[in-house]
Amino acid sequence: MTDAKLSIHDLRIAFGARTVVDLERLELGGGEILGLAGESGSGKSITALAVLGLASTLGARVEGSVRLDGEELVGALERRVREIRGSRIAMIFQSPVSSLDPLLRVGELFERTLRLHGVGKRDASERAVSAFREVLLSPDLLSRYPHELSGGQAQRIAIAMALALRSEVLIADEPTSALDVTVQAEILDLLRRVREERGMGVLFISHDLAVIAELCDRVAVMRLGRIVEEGETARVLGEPVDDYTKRLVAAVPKIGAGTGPA
Amino acid sequence: MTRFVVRRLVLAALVVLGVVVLTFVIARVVPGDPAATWAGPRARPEQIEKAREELGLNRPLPAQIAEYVGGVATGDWGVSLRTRRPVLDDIRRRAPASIELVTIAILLAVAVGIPLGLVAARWKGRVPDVGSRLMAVVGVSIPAFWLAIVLQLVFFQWLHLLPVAGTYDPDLDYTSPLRSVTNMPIVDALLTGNWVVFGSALQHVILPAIVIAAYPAGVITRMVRASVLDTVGEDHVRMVRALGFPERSVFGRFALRHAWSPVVALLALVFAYALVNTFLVEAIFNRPGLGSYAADAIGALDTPAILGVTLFVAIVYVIGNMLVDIVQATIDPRIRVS
Amino acid sequence: MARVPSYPDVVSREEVLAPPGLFRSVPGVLRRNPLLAVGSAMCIAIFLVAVLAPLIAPFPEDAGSATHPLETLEPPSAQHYFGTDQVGRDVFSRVVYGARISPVIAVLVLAISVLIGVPLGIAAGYFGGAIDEVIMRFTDVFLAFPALLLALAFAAVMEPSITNTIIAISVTWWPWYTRIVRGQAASVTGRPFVESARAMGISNRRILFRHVLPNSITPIIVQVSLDVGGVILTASALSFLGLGAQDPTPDWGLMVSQGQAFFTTQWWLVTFPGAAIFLTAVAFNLLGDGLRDVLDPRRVLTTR
Repeated sequence: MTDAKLSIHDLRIAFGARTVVDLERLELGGGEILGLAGESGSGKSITALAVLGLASTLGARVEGSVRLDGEELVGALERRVREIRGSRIAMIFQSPVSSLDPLLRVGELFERTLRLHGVGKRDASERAVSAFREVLLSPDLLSRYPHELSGGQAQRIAIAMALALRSEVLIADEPTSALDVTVQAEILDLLRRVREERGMGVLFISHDLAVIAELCDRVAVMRLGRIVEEGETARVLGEPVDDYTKRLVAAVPKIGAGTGPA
Repeated sequence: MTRFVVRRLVLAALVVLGVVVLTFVIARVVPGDPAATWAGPRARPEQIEKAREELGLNRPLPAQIAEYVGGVATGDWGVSLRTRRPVLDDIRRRAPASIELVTIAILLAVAVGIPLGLVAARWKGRVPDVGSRLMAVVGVSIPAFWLAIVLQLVFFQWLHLLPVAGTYDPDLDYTSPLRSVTNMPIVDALLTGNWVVFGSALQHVILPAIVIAAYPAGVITRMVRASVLDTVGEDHVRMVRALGFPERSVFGRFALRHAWSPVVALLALVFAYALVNTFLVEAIFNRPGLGSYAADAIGALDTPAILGVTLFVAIVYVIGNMLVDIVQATIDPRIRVS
Repeated sequence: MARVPSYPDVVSREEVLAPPGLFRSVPGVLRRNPLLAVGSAMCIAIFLVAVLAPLIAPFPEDAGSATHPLETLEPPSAQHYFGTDQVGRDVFSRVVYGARISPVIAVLVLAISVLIGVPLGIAAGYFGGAIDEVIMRFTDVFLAFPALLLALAFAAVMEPSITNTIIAISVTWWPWYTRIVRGQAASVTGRPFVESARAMGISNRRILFRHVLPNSITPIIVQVSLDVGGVILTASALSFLGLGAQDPTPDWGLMVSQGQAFFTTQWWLVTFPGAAIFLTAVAFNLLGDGLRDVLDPRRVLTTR
């Protein structure tokens, strides 16, 4: 992909002497939903943090290339990376309610974030309200505290934040793993709509192949910090080439398919 | 929220009851004969017997306890052997000045402790952290009475920068006498527009406030550091970073809100401890207040006064803890639910 | 700045409660915890000073009832490093001998507090129910007083002496241990293996000694090390107010109080004994903080 929105090349992440991620290539196009699959410990989450330049907060060392629209982020000025972080590349996490500062009303966090990225005060309120409507939430929720929200509502709010900031890339790290199945479906639906209407590129990280099969256009399978297989979802999950991918796919329980793996 | 408050009130009342009973027990530990002490050194046996009856020492123990508790509840806290006045009256007159001093000291401690704690957390493991932690250890390790004298030595005796003792310049009692409203010198000076006394009082309160602020500042610094470091590993901090906020905001604006909670939790404790520290410090600075009253009482073996002051501070502590619980529930909306 | 994240997400109670292999690599532990190292060094120094006092002090008899009317109030000199006091005694010698007093008071106070507080706490946590309620309400009343205040009240109604100081402070201090140990005991008691042990008819005593008690030791050790500094400060406050040691005992707090009247002109009377209190408290506080960082980094076990 020559004009990928987000392109990661030769990314190496290490803790001390231990290299946890050695990624040759991963590219996300605009308006595409790319799945990043793998078991716990495969390095998916730390890769996501590295894209945002946050891996160092955990003590990791990052080398390689991460480009957004051709602009190199690894090694760039912290100030520049911070401008992009949250606004052009947004990230949502697994536990949506605990990801929101418990002492702030949702609206306060929203406003602060928008103001941080240069949105004027009046503009910020308007954007907040319209972003809420886009994710099908009542703007009344802006005056609530995080502990008064359900998981689904909190996750929608996180997505609304990305919408209000006009993000171009959304990294979703296991966004539905902690939610009920029905709520999960709603969030996936929302992500699809967001891609349709905004052309947002989504990097969807998950250990759940069934969800990836449902949502993602392409998928990359990660194991022990490396990508072992990549391609269109239907192909990778339907006719896996790599051994590990085969085992992963075989391990997914299928409803109403008799006994044993499919 | 009201149910929460009511529960706290009831709990506090029960604890106060226990406190009063324990104070009574301490009173009974007094060696020697309280009746003889009360009657005076040259009393005759009949006078001592009369005193014994007056003091109710002949009654059965439960009755004595009940009488004592009843007395405390109705404002009869005994009579000071030294001043011959009701202890509660003495306390009422002397406490405000000490409360003012302690309040100023705690404001100082908070103003110093929170930033130091935030800095220590932000630069964990590096020089600012080690420096802050060292200062905190010094704060909690320094004997108040020693610090008081050393500061007097340095700032008055050697540098001639600050006054050695007193609440304000005693000459002002003639040139610009202070009218008493609340019995708190600085507040009164402010309320009555007596700027000369106000300025002098401020000058005189600096050293005592620093002495009393040392321990709370140390405690607060450590608490804020620990609390912020605990918070920083949490999900919502990861999110705030992912939203693009710089580290100085993470450890500044956002962390500050979270830092208040543990500080508030400590406020009752440090207030009470500071109040007790005035016992050691007020006499050194020649400031009339609850602390010097207590120190005098201790020196004169004035048991009713000693116990009265003990009771007073303990009750302040219990009420303080209750208020702190309520304030915390206000700051952190999650607490109300539990 | 490469550092492996140090805390696993889930720390099991076993990991938290079991004393780590502290003695397996003492030098390593000290190197990673500079505060602990400094505190330990200072404490050892104080211990040595106390033990070797007769050898270090140039005028050991001055720590007792000797007086030298011709050498009163002399400033620090080559002969008297810390000067002499109002009856001519060598302040340096007295300060050195004072190192025998404060730490000993602290040790005795904490020993008594542990002996009273721990069994009560274990009883409350293990037996639960009415016993728990009674013990804890009783403890709560004591804890409703600031420590120094209660100790002051007790000391004030007794004859001033070191023994009574120890008693007064111990009476104030034991409730903290009851509270800490009760929490530990209650949580250990709640575990399934204790229930099965009880069902199998194993005696309470056996369970208490073999399971509940060993699991409560770490928090006790940490708390004791944190408390030494506090007890020393409390004891010196009491003797400063005249409620503790009496002349001629070379108690530091007493020395500060005696020197107070002369502080404007004879600054050495107050400065050195007070500095001794300060440095001793710093030493034990650093030791306590360091131990806590090593044994209980997540602050699960201590209340203060």
